[in-house]
Amino acid sequence: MVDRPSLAVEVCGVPMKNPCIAASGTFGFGEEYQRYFPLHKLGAICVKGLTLEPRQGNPPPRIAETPSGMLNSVGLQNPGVRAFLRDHLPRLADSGTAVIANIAGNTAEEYCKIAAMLSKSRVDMLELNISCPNVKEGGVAFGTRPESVLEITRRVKTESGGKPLAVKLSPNTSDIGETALAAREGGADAISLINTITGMAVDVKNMRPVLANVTGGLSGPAIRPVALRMVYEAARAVTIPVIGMGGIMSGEDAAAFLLCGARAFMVGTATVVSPTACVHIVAELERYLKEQGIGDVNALVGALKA
Amino acid sequence: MGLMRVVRNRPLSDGVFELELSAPPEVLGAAPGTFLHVAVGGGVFLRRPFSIHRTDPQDGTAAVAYAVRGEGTRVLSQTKPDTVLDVLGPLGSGYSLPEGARRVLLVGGGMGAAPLLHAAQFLKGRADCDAVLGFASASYAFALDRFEACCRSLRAVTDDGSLGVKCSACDAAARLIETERPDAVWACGPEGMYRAMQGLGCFRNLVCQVSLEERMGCGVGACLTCSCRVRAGEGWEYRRVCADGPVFPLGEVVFGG
Repeated sequence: MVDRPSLAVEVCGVPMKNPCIAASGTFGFGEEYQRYFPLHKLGAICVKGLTLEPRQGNPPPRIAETPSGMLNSVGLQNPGVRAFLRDHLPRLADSGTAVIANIAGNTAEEYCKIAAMLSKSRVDMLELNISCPNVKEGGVAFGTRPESVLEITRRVKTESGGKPLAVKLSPNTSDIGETALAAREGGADAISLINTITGMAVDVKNMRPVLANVTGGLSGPAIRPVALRMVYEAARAVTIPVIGMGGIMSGEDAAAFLLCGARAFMVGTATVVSPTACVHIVAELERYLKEQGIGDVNALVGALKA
Repeated sequence: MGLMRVVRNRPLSDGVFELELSAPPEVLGAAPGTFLHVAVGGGVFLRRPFSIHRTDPQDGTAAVAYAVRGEGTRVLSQTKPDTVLDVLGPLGSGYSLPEGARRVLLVGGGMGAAPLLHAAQFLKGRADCDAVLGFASASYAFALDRFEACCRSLRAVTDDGSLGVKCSACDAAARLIETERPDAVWACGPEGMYRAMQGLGCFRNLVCQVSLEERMGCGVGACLTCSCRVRAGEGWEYRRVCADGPVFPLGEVVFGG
């Protein structure tokens, strides 16, 4: 037994007190969760996807339960990057946790403008969202072909003024290793994966799709095996840090992602089910390390035995 | 947020159940129209939101009423006493009594009666309260005796005339507004009822608050899945049913399209 395992990690120069990051889109800008736990308990917060202008998002219903998971079609509803910088970031930057800004756009120019605006801000890292399945233009359209991943990454990196750039990869692609390589070649400092898998649900009584948007992004434990496999493949393809996610509900789930090569992990859908999921997962991960006799969480990274 | 023990889980009428929970003080003192977000267990993944139906501070219990509609409510209907459920809440922004209001009319459609009993309990000693409850048929009516105990008057109507007058809750309420002149209307029912109410001048001319329902995720305002449309400037904007509502002013809600 190890008394107090070290949980601290560093992801492309950004120190985090533990490897647990609240995933984009499930944590807002942190405000709603402050009444449930102090935000400094998190390694980092990845904020709701930011666009240049405010977005209304898609019509409801935007959520559907599926076996061991859920579909969402929020469609990047957000107040826009300016409102984020003005109304949310000052408080978030003082919360004692690292802040990752997830950015999304319709065009490469929009991504670049947002990155430039954030480059002078107090955010610690940018996450390039080229994998949202719920918007008509941009989003996943940039994320499926390696050549477009490389191009958008290169352009956004130029604008991000030295801020570390993580590229969030879509699972809706044939070869994740190739996409990861393209992101690295474009200058990505890290990659995060997986975003949701496009899916749909049908209300057979009313003979209609459950989601008003017809299709949505599948998340939760249902996608965990796919996510683990993709994190494993991506981590073997590139040497830059990998942030893993996909259906993490417990500390042991998190450990599995680290073993597959993730330097840190994101928790999203578990928070939708339970607001304190992240803090429970960190406590469970710590217990797992103690039980395994591992003194430092970094020793888990990529330690999967052949 | 916490674990709550099931005290009772029993049918109230055709397909309608009441789940009674051993509740902490914050639930016993919850505002009317707020809700509990219940992890029903049994492999159901997401929580299910239910407005508070009634509280009994002396017994330390709170109840939600629900109709069996899908997998979540089906599992819930089979939950046995002494089961411990993970319950979040009270959540949301409920009904509010306008300053100086002395007479409130409750208007319920179907399962919409559920939060209105809690509203009637809340109004006791604060304002006079009359209730109009509409049901599809007598077999779906529930909690009428409890409403009678809390309200100055109760009028139950049905679509098929099997209980009370054959008319809609909206029409029955409109007639009552003319004679009773309430200061506020607190309503809960299906979208069709709200649309009908928006079409009648009598509801536009007084404070009228309605409780909305939408498929919900986190319940705390972060995931942005339970959206509804609310008037803003020249147009509308999405608001969160869970955190900005579930209760909104009738005149501000934009339905359909």
